[in-house]
Amino acid sequence: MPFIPSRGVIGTDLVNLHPNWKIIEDPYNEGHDILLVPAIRPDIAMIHAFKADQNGNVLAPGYEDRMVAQASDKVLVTVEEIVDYDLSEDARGGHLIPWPFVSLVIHTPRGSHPGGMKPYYEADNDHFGRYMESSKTADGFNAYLNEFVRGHTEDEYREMVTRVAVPA
Amino acid sequence: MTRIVSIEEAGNRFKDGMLIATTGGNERSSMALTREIVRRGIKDLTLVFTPAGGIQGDMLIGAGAVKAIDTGSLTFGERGFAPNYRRVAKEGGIAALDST
Repeated sequence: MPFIPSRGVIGTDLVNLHPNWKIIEDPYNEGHDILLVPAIRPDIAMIHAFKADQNGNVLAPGYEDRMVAQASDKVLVTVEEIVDYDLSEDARGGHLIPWPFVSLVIHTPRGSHPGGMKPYYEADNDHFGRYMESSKTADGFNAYLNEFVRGHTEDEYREMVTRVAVPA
Repeated sequence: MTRIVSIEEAGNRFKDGMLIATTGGNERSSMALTREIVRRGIKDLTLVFTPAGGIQGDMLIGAGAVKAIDTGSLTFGERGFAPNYRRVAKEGGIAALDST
């Protein structure tokens, strides 16, 4: 769908924020305006999902994961598990993103940390607290990124933050 | 055809200035790819959050990777405000669009 027509937004500042939105005369109601909101076409969608199979079918937690995948040029999906059966034959417990909408799959257990990924694990509230405390200043957050992210691989990050956490 | 790759290989796809869509927010978001963007020092991204933003967007903003966000909200939910977004927005360092 290239755009969506909408009337309710006309007259608000949202229209001024978006120079690419167009207002035309409503072809079905002479003398009335209609707003056309163009589709958002992301270069990349980044999604975290439950499982992928060997062909790239993905079992995702939300209906919007598939919607975003269909809208985006390239789709990168991190998953908790890679399975050896066909997810298109058995998509119980999630929402299927068929492989034609998936560009790359990456196996990253705990890839949503410190956020939760039910039913695999709950949020790490201690880590959230630490993140928020460090974020009070730009220097503090820079120190957080240096400690946990920059210069560390994702495997090293997982090792660091799961040492004291509940096992998956 | 879909390929199964390492996070480092996937990270090669990110370039400065891209429009990136994310899902999740504070739960079930791809923090692994978020951290990979930070490791690479990618800049000038525009983020669109579906359905709402959380720690994923906040980390990228705090890392200086973002020039604009397109979303109805970016918060830490019951935990409070998104701290880096709040600080950077106060300094005028980010554009908020809101197409939702």
